[in-house]
Amino acid sequence: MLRLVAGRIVSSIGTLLFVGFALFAMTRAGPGSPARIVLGADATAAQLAQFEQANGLDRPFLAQYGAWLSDILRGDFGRSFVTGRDVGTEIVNALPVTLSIVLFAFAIAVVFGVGIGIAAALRPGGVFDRVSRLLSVVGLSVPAFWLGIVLIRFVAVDLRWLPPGGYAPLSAGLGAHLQTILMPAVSLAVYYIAVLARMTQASLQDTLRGDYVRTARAMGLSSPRVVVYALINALPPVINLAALSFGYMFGWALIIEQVFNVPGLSRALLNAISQRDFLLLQGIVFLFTIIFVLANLTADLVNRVLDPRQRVAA
Amino acid sequence: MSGTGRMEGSGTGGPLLRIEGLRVGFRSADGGVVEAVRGVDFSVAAGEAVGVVGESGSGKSLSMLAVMRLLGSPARTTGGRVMFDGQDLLALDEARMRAIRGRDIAMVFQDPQSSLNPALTIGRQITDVVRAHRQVSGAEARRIAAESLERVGIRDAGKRLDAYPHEFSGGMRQRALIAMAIACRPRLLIADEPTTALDVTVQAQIVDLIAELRRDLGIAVIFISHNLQLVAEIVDRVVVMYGGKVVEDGPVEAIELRPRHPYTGLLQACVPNLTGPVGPLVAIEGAPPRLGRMPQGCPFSPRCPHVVEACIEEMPPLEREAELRFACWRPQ
Repeated sequence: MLRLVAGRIVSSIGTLLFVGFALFAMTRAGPGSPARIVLGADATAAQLAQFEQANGLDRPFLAQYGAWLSDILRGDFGRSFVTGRDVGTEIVNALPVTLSIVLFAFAIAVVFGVGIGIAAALRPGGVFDRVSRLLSVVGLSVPAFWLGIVLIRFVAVDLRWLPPGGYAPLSAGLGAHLQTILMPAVSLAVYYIAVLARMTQASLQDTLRGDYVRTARAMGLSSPRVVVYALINALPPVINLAALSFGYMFGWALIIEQVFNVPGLSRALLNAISQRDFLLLQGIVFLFTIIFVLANLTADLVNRVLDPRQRVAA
Repeated sequence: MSGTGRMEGSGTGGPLLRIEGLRVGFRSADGGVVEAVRGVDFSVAAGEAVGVVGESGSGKSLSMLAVMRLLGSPARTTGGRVMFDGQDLLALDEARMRAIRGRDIAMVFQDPQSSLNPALTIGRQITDVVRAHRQVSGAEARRIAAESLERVGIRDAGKRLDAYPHEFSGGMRQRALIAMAIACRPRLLIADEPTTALDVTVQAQIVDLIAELRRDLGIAVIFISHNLQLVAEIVDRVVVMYGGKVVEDGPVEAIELRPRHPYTGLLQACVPNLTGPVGPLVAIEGAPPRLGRMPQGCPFSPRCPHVVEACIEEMPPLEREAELRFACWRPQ
């Protein structure tokens, strides 16, 4: 088991190195030098060269990549040569906002998605089965940003139940905090509720037909216990999907943050892109990669705990 | 506490289980009902071993699932009674039926590969059964589980409790399932083709095990099989089913000596004799009747070598002659 975990962690690190390299290469492949943006259109070639030299932009590509990577390993994301601010600090300032919305959305998606999926699987043709079917149509076809705008229009503008945008940190009180992140989180979650509900329902319906479920019933186990028997075996694909969803949510969160005017990572990222702020851009995208890899790693490890066959399989 | 709530024998000397006119049907696409079990009657005495024999589709497994009330949609019981200890199982509410399953009547199935939960240890699965029926501590349930596992011939049972099903061979898994089934000392064990998915040598071991449990623990057994010879080794009585009906029923010696229904005779001839001279393999011509296409008369009439007009027109009644019951217009 320990060796398997170690192997899985090593391969995750490999993924990070590869993605980091691709990211670094693509950032630099785009048009426009940060020197030109910082110094303006009037800057002379000598000034540009001096700027590039001062910021290490004239060094060979691999040397730049190596330096960036070794800095990151020490927890240093570098200092933006556009704004002069520390990239790590900028991320640390913006991340809690995005994280708060995504975590809340993820919790909503898992609780409702898995809950509706289980209820639908247990009663085919029942209320939740119909809810699940309706949800999958609505959830999969309604874009999150549009839902966000609709929510702002009705819940905030017409009903005045919630503020139409902005962000109050947790330090401003839990109530105020939840008020600002509720609509963004719901907009973000609806699609994933639909996906997770469908997956849970399909997977559980499948395992409920299993021979071991019939055995459990033939031995007189209670219905809840029988459902647990089926559920343990139904969960692995749901957990994998949940982990992927968690990663994707960070991507969608960028758009949702714009809709609700929330000062999260989206603002920092958009600024970084428009200003060719390589280090900030790399830092944020690399952070997303780490989150994505960690989520999948966690799902893998949880599944190994759930399925004893995976523990011995190499 | 061992007897809490357990139904005690009525003491009238009646059979432990009496199936009366049992019918199982499937709802068909056009809204009608297609019957797969068409009025099955037979009984099992306490401690008796009965073999239920027939080809696939004869309705033998469906009948037993109906007895356990484990039929899944779209199959459902459409008629009859299942008297166990003087009460009709088909009339019980689900909670009381659940209390009987595993405690008074347990069932093991064909494929030990898929019949155990892959995510839970063997011990957990047996203790769950124990604790579903008896108020015992975890330690006590574990002790009972180890005892059951040992009872079915698994060595080092205490340690094997922590093994997962994938760490067991097919034969050992079937043993583990039987251990689950006998953990609460039921009075009836229904084994639905328990050896079909196993190697021949392992098959013999499982058959021997079931015979031994029956002898030592006094558990009545219903052994479902398509192999008449295999069943004959361990049962007292054989019930032969065809086309959703009982066609012959009697003590194993009498049936082996002189089967009266032509179908039973052909079933007997189908299993090659391994000790005698080598002859050609016998097969029964044709295929069993399809659901919803049951002949009007005897269901075996289209394949029967002795068929006469009466067989095609009318189903013969199940009549008793000496120790045997058989349903045939032209008994052999």
